[in-house]
Formats: sequence, C-alpha cells, structure tokens
Amino acid sequence: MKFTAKVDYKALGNLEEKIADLAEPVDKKQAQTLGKLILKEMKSLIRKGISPLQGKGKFPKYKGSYKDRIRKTGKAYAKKSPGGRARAFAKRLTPVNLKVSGHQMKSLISWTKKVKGSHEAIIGYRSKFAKDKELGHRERKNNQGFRPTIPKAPREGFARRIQDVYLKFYNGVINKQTKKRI
Amino acid sequence: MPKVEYKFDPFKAAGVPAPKGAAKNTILKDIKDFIKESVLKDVGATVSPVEGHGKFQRLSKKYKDKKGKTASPIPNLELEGDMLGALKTRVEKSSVWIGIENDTQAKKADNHNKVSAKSKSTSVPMRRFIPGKKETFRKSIMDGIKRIIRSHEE
Repeated sequence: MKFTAKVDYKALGNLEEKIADLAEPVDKKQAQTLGKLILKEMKSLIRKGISPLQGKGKFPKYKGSYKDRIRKTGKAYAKKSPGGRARAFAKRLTPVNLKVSGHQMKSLISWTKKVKGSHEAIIGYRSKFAKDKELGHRERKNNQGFRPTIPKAPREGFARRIQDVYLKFYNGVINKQTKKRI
Repeated sequence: MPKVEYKFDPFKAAGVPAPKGAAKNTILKDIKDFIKESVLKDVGATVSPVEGHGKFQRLSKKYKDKKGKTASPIPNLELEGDMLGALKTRVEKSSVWIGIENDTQAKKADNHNKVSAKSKSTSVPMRRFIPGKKETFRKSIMDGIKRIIRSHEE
C-alpha cells in the first residue's frame, strides 16, 4: 500500500503569519497587572521570611545585640518617618520578615515604562528611606545579614516562585491571543 | 539517625522526556530552587506542601502562648528558624533531592514528618513538609514544575 501526503502551503503560510503575529507588544495595562502580581508574590515571600532572590531560601537570622533586644523586650526600634524620632515597634525573632515600622514594605511599589513600543513592569522603592534600608541590607551595614529584596542583574534573579508568576501570566496572555486569532 | 529526605525525577513526575546537556541542568537547577521556595512558602502559610496533607494542625494553647513570646504564634514550624534554615536541596543526576542533613535538625524534622518508628510514638502532631515514600508534592507545586520544564522547551 502507498500513502501520499499533500501539503497545503498556502494554509501553512497563513498559520505561520498568525503565529508570528502572536508576539504582540505588552500593553500598559498588562505591564501594570504583571507588576502588581510580582509585588504580591514578593511581599508574600518576605512576610514569611523567604528571600525573593533565586537560590537564597530563608533570610539569615537576626543576631547579636539586635536579637538580644528583641528577645528581651519584644521590640525593635525604627524611625517613624524619614528624619522622625525613633520609636519602638513590637517585633519577634521569627519570621525574619524585615518588618519594624512597615515603612520599607509600604514603599515597595511597581510602575511601568514604555520601551520600544512595548511596556515594562518595574519594581522598586519609592522613598529614599526605604532605598537606604535596601542598600543597608545588601551591603550588610552594621554587620546585619545579607537580606536584599530586589535582585541585581545579571548575577541575581527573582526567586523561581516569582518567575512562576510571570510564566503563568504570559501563558494566560498567549492563550487569550491564540483563541482570539486562530 | 533518621533520614528526612525525598528524591525524585521531575521529568518522570511531569511525564515528559528529559532533555540532554546544558538545558537539562538548567531546568533541574530551577526546579531545585522552586521546590525549596515552595516548601518554605507553604510551611510559612501553615499548609503542608505534601499532597493530601492539607493544613497543619493548630498549636496547643499552652505551646501557642510560649511560642508567641519570641516567634509567630502559628504552626509554621519556626521557633528560632534553625530547622527550616537547615533545609537543603540539590541536583543529583536526573533527580532533585530535598532534605535535612544536620543531625540535630533532622531529629526535629523527623518528629514533624513522622518518618522513623520512634518519632511516631512522640506527642508532636504530624506536620509533614517533606514527602514520604509513595508521596509527592501537592498539585500546585507539581504544576509549577511542569511550567518550568515547558518554558525551557519553547
């Protein structure tokens, strides 16, 4: 028995065009949504004492006099507002969630930027006070543990849990576009 | 010493053939990190990352009061953070290994996971965070593993 196959090159060409067309630029709304989803996952990890950087796992424990003070008094000190007076806030040794006054995490936000006809989601700190805190955690100022929250490219990347958020998001976007166009 | 560990082939678990060369190593490294983060996140949310185990049992009133003085008063298996800090993952050939090697921490982990016969007789309730024999991670984690494999295929 002999089998023959006919290829419809015209249809194949149309399909190729449609597939190429799927690589649409990211619109502002999509970038905003993605930024919010990433922020949500970042904060969820940090709240549980997990680093939002890939491969880092748990944040290093509190140590030294800071640890002793929390253990004894159940409090940690922070400036209430940038330049304001230091105030005591309730604090526990675990989870290591970087929270004292809550200013740093409130200041962690996302915004978008237009790049070559497409949009990017950017994650960063709004206030100088929070930026200084982040820098202090990265540079291990005052002998504190290495606890940065924003990865520094190209050597560092977001935790796989956060990367999974954008994998899921883009899978959803592509599925929607595929349904619309094919 | 009780062995609290779990080793599995993620490609087999996902039902896809393993790629060869550098791609395979990259995928396994990503899955290794994903599993560690997922286990830590689930435990932090007082949920077992093991399929079929659901939410962790509540703390007793007495222990909750004691724990609440220095740590979060929820069953997140974290008093000082030593046991979860000792949780390790690594790539072994085509598999990913997760477990606790430090003897002191492995004993604690054994009491929570109820692996050895001795641990089963203790009064500590089972709060399993590492799958036992014939067990696997819960669906959302397995779905994430599949997404990582697929993202490298594209």
